[in-house]
Amino acid sequence: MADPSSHLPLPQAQFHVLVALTEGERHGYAIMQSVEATSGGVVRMGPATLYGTLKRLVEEGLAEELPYRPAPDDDQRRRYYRLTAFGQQVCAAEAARLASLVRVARANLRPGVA
Amino acid sequence: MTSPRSARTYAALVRLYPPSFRQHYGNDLVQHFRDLASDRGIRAAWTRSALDLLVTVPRYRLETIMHSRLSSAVLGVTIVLLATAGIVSVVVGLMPGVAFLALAVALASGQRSRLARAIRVPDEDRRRRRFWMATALAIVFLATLVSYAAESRGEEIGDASLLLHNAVGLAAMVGALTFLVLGLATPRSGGRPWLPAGITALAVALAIPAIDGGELSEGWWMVMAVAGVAGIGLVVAAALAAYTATPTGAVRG
Repeated sequence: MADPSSHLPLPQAQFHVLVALTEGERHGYAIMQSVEATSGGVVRMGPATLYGTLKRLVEEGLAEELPYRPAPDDDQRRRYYRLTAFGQQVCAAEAARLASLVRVARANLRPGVA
Repeated sequence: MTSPRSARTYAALVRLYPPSFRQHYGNDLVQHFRDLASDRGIRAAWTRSALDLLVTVPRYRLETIMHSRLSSAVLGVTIVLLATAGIVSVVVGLMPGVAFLALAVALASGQRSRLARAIRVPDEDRRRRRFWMATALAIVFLATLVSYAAESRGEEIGDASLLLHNAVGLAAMVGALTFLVLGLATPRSGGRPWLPAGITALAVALAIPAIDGGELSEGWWMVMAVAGVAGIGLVVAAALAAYTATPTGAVRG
């Protein structure tokens, strides 16, 4: 079994996509919308950046394509993705790493700045 | 509202991506563009997609090149060609040649791990075969110099013969250095670089007077001496290693 920490630190785009997939099964465009919403519009991924990131995540076993369409009335050409169990572990490890970093930053910065 | 022409233009631009990426994600990219245009307008879709194309097309192309096994060989040859161009330029007094050398060193150091990873194959003899190939080419390089010396014997030789000697010698030298670099970048599984490196160094030492036209400065004598001594040392080390590796040698040693 691969070690989740061997994937850390995750590139920003990969972490954002993993976080979007924690909400459930999503197709590409829905992932992009979710990333924009959770980042407050700061992270705007172009189409190829998004699919390049998904390709990398699938290759590394952090996400997988669904063999079926969750919504029967949806466009059959759309490809859906979900987190793998290993992807969840890596996402949790990255979140813990960032949380620890944020704690240090808050502790070290002057009151009122952090 | 999606403009069919915009979607067609974007679909045409998607062809710029590497085939593997395009075949798997081409339809998703176009669908994504249509969704963007329909949600936020054609202008917003183009603003985001054009910037994305500019950044990702070269990046994915480069990644594809760097991940292919063929490209590792191409990269190795490029490094050796740059290094050769740099050395020859410096020898004939063109200082910009230093830039070629620096580029070769930067490429070699920057890509060493990727090169080693890319050429890792389940073939334990690959490293050994590469060093033997380098040895054979270094011998050809050496033989060209001996042939040139024997034919000229202090006199000018014909243009055709000179061209042939130069072409064969240069090709053999580049080949020997290429296989030496590829062998060194192959994960350790046997084979030592001493013999090909030694013969190549000896050949380089012998080639210096030919390149410099016979009038050697003190600096070039020094370079020649160092290359010659290193070459002899490496060949002797290779011979000793081969001797002690045999059961007879081990008993005697």
